[in-house]
Amino acid sequence: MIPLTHSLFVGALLFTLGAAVVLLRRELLFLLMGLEIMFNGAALSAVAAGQHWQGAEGQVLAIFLMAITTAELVVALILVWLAYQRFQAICVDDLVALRDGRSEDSP
Amino acid sequence: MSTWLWLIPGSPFVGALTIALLGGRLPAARLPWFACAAAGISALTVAAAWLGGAAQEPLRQTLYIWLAVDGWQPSVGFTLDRLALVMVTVVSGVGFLIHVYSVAFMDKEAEQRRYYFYMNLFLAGMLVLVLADNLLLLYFGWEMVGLCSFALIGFWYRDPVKAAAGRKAFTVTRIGDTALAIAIFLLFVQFGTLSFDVLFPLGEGDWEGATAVALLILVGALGKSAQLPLQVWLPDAMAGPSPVSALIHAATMVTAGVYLIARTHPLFELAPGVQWTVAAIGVLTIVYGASCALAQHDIKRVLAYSTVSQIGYMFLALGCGAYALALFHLATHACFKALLFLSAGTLIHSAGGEHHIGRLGELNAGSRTVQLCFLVGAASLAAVPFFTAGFYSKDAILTAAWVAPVGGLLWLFAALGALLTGVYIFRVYLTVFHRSAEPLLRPRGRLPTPIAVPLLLLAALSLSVGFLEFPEGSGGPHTWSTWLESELDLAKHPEHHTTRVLQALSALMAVAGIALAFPLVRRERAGKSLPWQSFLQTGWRFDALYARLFVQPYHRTASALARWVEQGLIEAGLNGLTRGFWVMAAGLRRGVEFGSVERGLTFLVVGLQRGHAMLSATQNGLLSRYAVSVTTGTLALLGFWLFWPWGG
Amino acid sequence: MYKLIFYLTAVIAIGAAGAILIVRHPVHAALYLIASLLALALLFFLLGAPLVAALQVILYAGAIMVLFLFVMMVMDLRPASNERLALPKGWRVPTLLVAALAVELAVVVFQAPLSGDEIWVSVGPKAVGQSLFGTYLIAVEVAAILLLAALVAVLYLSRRSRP
Repeated sequence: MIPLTHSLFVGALLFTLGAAVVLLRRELLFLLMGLEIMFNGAALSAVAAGQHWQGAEGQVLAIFLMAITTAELVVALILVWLAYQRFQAICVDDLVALRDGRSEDSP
Repeated sequence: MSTWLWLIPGSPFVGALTIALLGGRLPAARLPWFACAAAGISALTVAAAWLGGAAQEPLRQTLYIWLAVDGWQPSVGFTLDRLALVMVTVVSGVGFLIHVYSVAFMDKEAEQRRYYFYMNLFLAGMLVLVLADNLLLLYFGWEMVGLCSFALIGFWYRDPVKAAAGRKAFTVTRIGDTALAIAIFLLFVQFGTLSFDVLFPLGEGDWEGATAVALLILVGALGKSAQLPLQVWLPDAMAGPSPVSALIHAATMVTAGVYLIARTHPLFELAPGVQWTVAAIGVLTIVYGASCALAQHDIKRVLAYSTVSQIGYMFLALGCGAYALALFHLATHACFKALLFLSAGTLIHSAGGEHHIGRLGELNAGSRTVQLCFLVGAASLAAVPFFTAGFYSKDAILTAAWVAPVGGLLWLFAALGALLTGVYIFRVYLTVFHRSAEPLLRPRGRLPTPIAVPLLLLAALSLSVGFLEFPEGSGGPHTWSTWLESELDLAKHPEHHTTRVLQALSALMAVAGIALAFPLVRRERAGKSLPWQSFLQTGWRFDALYARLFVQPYHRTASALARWVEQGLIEAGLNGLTRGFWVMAAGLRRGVEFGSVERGLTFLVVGLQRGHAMLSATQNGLLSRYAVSVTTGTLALLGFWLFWPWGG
Repeated sequence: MYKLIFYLTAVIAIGAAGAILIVRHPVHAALYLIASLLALALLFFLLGAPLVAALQVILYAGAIMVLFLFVMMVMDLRPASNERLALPKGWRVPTLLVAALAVELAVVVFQAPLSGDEIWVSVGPKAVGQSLFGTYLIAVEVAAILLLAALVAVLYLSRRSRP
């Protein structure tokens, strides 16, 4: 049987890889995919822990996670599309309306 | 009966939700009555609880478990024991009467929907607060009433002064709320539970943290109940409509602190020092409030300071261990202060929004009924012996104070307060109603029924509630304190003869106060003012003091940080350094034609420039950079938790 | 055999997730994403959670994948050129952070005091359903309201005429 530690480690690795995608890629769509990976890493930990204690709670948590990611994703995707339509923005670096006005020299 | 317990806070809550969501569909004329019905169902449920045996056995109901974590199960659960029953009766009863009063009072207002939404929500929050069976739910109600209080003080938010009064109330009470939250955290850390049933038997052991927790709970109560030194918000809170002042800032919300201390009294008994502090703050506030009320010209501000002072009596009783008497005074005060506010509101209304007592007297707009009601309220507040409810409750507190440590001093202050109470309230009564000049505004024929009925009912209560508890040693029944004895210990009274003397003295104080009001009013009509008039009128200059102590230093620190640290240090420093190095590099290149030095310096300059760019790049609007910051924070927190107490 | 399948699937899930980091074409990335999520579904099944595994397949392969592809279609995305993927500006700090995060998470996971003996138990849809519509009924309602809110938000954002 697989020890819980290993499943948790896989979940943690997935989470880290998702974080890496969010931090390193610039395309908005890739960012969202990174977020999905992060959520799924968390879901794996939840399910693994739930199974470890032989309860349904882990799965329930995973199902709630799915509902919440779905809600997040649809809104985010429509916003990506709107950003493309209005500002022709594909990368996050194109969306800098919140920047500090004085620091013109920053990248 | 237990299964219907949720209806007490639930009915106003559903009412508030319906008004908020579907209020636009209801005909505007029905809306007030709908809100009244919601409050009325709650009051009826309380009445049914009385009949259904809540007076004997506590009723309990658990609606929902928020989350269950390893034995900790914070629930949405209600307990209706005797203490809660008293509070619930006062809140729902007075609340219902004031809702009915509002129907006529707010008749001409726009935005009634917002008004009734917050009134119903307030009622729900207050009932949750007193019914809660654990501290977490109590805190939820506590915050809910704070929010509604803020929204209703600033009901006329287009007037910047009134909006500012709302913000002030919210900010000042927040100090107390934070202290209460910390107390709840400490209790949870210590006992792992917040349920009253489990907590208080535990709390009776020996625990050295009790002092800190009791002190924090006290600060919480001070903020909500407007006691020294957090009393500054209540006089300004009078910017709200009069029914709001009557309901929230006289009868119910401001007494939440009293309820909180009564509910957690085992903790205070573990910390006698803190308990004595409660009494000391109480007496100081009594004298403070009464002396300030003496110099006010705004009728509602007089009543506000009077509320501050009367709640001081309740704190005094709590500090002396006379919890049942504190609750008794809470109940009588809710009746007569609501009565005073409502009759003052009617008066202001019919005088076209005039608040100044002198001009109100000239206008002479009050009808006979209003005058009579105000007189009953004033007499009860001044504790006129034998007839009025205020006499029975205040008198009992005064005798109970005598036996506390340093009781003589406490008694002296409280008796001084009683004297001043008679003076200030009858000063208002005489100035407003006994004006020899010809009235400018003819009193109108009849009061509207929704105004007259609550006024008369409250007047009857202000006269009769006192008979529940006769003074110690008088032979009359002690229904109130014997009934509450199973939950709140009986108050100690001094021996028979002392009690008699003290009772006679305090009765004398009340009458003397009223007698003193006559020459005072004559003096004022002659144009002379009190000594220290402006000191008293500004509430001992607390506002100015706090502005100097807290507000100005805060502004000054912020602007100094902006000027010196941000502009002066970081930006100018980096700019200056960069420029300096450029100049130096140029000079050196010209002077010393030495390749490695030049290269080294240029490297430094580039480094500094990059540092400058990096610093200002923290506000660059780039999402990825923000994500990096979030990750860094997560890492640091996780690392701290993992590695901090090495090997821990 | 069971162990072999489990670890193989885990490697696939992690490898596919890592591939998203380096591919250029968004459609390729979406395919890697779906591969990773399907592998995860298999992991769920192997852990004894068939309901979540099935939901994972339906929801991610069925719905979310389509959503991603739809957005790519309307945005008409394709990589600008066929050059090698360049590292973004300032890649060192995030890389370092991610590496540190991985180390810390590993420490957390391997330090946890967990009992050793593992028993394979499948918790079926019935138990999950009972838990979901019994104990957590109100949470389900709240999640439903959240989804409704998301629906309303999307309808609002995608309306045709804009002021």
